[in-house]
Amino acid sequence: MKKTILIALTAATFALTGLNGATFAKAAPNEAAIAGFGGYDGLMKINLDLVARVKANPLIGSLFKDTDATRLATLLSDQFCELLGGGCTYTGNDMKAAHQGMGIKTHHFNALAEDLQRAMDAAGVSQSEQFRLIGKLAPMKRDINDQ
Amino acid sequence: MANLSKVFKYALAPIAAGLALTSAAWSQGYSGKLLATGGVSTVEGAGGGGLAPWALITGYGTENQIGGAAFATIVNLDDYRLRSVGAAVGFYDRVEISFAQQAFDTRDVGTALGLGRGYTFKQNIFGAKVKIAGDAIYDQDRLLPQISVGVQHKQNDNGNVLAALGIPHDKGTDYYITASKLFIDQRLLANVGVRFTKANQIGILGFGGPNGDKLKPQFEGSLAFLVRRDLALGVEARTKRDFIGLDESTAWDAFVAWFPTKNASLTVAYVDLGRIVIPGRQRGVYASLQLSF
Repeated sequence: MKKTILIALTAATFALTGLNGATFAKAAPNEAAIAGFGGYDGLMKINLDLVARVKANPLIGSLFKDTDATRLATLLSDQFCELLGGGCTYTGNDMKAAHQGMGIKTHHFNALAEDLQRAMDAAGVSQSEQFRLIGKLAPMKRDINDQ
Repeated sequence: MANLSKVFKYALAPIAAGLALTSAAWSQGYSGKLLATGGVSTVEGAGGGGLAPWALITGYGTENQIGGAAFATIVNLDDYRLRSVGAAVGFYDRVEISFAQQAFDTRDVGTALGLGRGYTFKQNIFGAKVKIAGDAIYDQDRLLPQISVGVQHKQNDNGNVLAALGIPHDKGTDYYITASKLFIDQRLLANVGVRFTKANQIGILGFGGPNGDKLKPQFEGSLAFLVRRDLALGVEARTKRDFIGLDESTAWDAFVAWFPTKNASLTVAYVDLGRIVIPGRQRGVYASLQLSF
């Protein structure tokens, strides 16, 4: 009986998310580590929101003008998942190589961080989980910043 | 009013200099630091907590921007009232210059000391701070804290009164080194510093005294917890040396600082400044409003 309900619920969930077009058919090897973000699906939703925000951000929007939103959100989700211990593997370019020569300064880096904070707020991510992720991302500034 | 115009005169110079440089840096944007990472303004004008400066540079300017802060602080103690107003400019997240004017109202104690009721000691503080190593925010994968060195030149205009109390100087200079580190994962900001000073009650009662006339190292530090990115709770302590022989002792406080935007912060604290001339510790409420960019 219990099993039947579980299967029915799972099927219903898939059906619903499928209707929204918001299922990404991927789970992190260690979903528990990113449970505070709603798992891998949650990270994807946060990062799609983030990419929309950075594209609209007057300070950094031009840097993302031609960026494919889904591709970037996927790369970011893989990266965040890896950093948070979710066991994913980031397959994008090396951070330093990817940002070299773009003239990125601390205020650009922070503008993205603030958009991420807004996206996490919108997704209802707790303060402690938000600080955990921001703490992992902070050292990347050294590679991204043009000195 | 004369007092106020004097304050503005002093405060306007760094602000004007800041604005001139800012116009050059404006094309680089402004207020690029993350919320709250400019800190609040100490009673001596430097960026930090309320009593102890941080190694962080005041305001919200990043490496190619200029930031700044202006503040008004009032500390209502059992028997005294301290008011401090001032401003600071942070250049390229590297150098900070600051000014503060303090007015220490002795209220009824002034009568008892024969100075007259409400006799007010005034002090001007010119400060500078330079970041020399590390980054408190971004070096999350390194142990090295952000380290800054600073100087505060203090001019107290009460030489005659102080001489009568056996205090030799109404001017003095403090030198300090301070280290700050934000542990983002733990949501803690830790700060420790050493100040070389011979100030009595941070200079309000002059410099040096019967018990000594040499700079002595004093500890100052703070620990703050980020409840949210716009709200910090913390404690601070600052040791003071008894140069006069009136049992001057450690000051501490417990504070709440709220940063609704990068342009304003409000800090409220319970303070215990230790004994100040008359017996008993001076406790009270500290409130500080800061405007910043």
